[in-house]
Amino acid sequence: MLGLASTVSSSSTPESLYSIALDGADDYIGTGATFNTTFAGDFSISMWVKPTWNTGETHHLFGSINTSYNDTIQGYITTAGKLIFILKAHNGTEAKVTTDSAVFSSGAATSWTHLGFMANITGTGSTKTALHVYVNGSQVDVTKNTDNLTAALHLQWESDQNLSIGGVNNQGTLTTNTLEGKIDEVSIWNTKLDDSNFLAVYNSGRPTNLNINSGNYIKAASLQAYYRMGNGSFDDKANGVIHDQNTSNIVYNGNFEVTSGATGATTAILDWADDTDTDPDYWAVSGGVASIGARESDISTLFQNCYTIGKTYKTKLDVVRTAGTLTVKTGTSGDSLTITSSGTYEFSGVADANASLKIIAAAAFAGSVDNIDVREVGGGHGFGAELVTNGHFDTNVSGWTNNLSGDSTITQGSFGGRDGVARVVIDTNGQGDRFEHDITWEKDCLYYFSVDVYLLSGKFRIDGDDDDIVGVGSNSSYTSTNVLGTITYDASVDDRWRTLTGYAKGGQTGGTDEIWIRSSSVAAEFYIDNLSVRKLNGNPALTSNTDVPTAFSSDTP
Amino acid sequence: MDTTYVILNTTEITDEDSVIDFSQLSNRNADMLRYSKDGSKALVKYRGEDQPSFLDGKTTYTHAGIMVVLRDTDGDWYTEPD
Repeated sequence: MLGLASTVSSSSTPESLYSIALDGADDYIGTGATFNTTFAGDFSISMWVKPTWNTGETHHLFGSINTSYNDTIQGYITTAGKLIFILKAHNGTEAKVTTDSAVFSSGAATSWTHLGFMANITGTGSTKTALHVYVNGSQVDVTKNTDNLTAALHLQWESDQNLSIGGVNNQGTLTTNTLEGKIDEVSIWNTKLDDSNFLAVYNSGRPTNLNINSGNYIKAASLQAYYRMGNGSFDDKANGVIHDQNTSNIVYNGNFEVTSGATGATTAILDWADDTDTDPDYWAVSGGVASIGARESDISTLFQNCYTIGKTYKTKLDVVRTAGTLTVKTGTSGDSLTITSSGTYEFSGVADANASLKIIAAAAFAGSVDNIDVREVGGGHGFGAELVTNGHFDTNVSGWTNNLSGDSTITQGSFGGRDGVARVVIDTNGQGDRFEHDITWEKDCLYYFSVDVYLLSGKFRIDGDDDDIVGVGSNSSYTSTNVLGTITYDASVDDRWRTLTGYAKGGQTGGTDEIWIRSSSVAAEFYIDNLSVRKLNGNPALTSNTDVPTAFSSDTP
Repeated sequence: MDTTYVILNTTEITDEDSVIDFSQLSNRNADMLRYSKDGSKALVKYRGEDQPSFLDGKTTYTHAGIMVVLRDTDGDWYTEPD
């Protein structure tokens, strides 16, 4: 249980400790996400760049081109130093704009430039989508090279390829020149940012925390991805894993701007319910706030089923109190905050089995609430739950089975100063033997692996089944199933416990959902302990071909 | 430490008996490499003075050298943007 009933203030802290340097040859960042629902509507992209661009070169900033070539998004620096923004949807019709003036001068940039790209569906049906480009917070003039993307087609944007940053994912391969230079604070919203919003994001050249609204920046709730390039929580510079720092507001219509259209509720407040629905609705929306007057005896609760049971949330809201007490709870018997005066309140609590955010007005309470913002603590990044049910081997080796019929064995015991470890002996007759454990893999998700190994002879490796996972850690070798690389006995580092770590990416959902421990075509003997596999939350991005960790630079906006 | 670039034939990576050891390269795996327009060549790189033995005899490029190859508009690698 967290400390409750405390009000805290939050502020926007300018910070950017790292950027990432891309070599222009083959470095890029794979997001592992298509952003289909985002790009099939109004959206905005923001980034800081410091390129080493020369006249005659093209540098790609972001892009994906799907297999049919019909749905693409691209942003790049042209041979003349201008910016081009392209959105092609559904059947190949596209919108394409070029800035009228050059944005970059030939040579290595000496300062950072903030870039904004915004797509706006301005109407319905055959109305054309408008593309806008911002430089250092100001919208710049563009020429429409093509203007054929209609609202109807834009809404059908759908790609089977993940978005790349610093390059273009062209139908699964990298075939164009990538950005040469540094890039930082890449952000994607599923809404249009207007002039004042982009100017606030630019913030006079100082990046701010985009998870927090500040001044004219009021789009934090629409943030879909937020890559801070090394200084985000859980960012792993050694392995080039950049965690999405987006922690979006999970409450719908928390600002009460929409007053009708409720589904399954008698209340007229969209996405909210009132537990006094069988009685006259006490809560009402007017002027963009939800208000309630004092009642003789009825307690009235405004609620929304937005939680996941057991997770921790930070809740923020504005309250205007005329009389009485208002209580905010993370469920029926969850954590609570009691409010007896007007103000802005913020508290953290764990969702109980009810899984509803409850705003409970005591009978005497009269007042209003607004700007309700709920975010899962740690929800946008970090590690998910442990997927290996018996990787500790404390009492047995249950859950691990020998796939083949060789003479290899796995047994539980003590060794090397540890109790509760697994001894694996790969017999000469069963060199291809493997011991399997069920795990459900998901396509394009990143997984973190860790295992303690005491190798006595032969080789050790961890695999998934063919095509189910792809090794991507710095130790991984080419073979598509090998996660940590094949460890061959080396007396200088083995004959002792050592911890191996690495990452792998889900190759498909379904298939053979297993993890394997094995040797590699030779007899072997090793002990293992603390075998752990955890999925990474959010949309973790992955550097590709970069020299990590040296590619992470302290040169920042 | 500088980075050294090497152009390989793609088959040298995809062959079942490939000797390319990605643990000695700056690249993660074959899926994430940059390939030439026709897919027949792949770009790999390593950092530092010690060249992996499986690259012995290969032509090596500095960063400036490989950029000339990659940006040659008449070459095997350059793709005109849309």
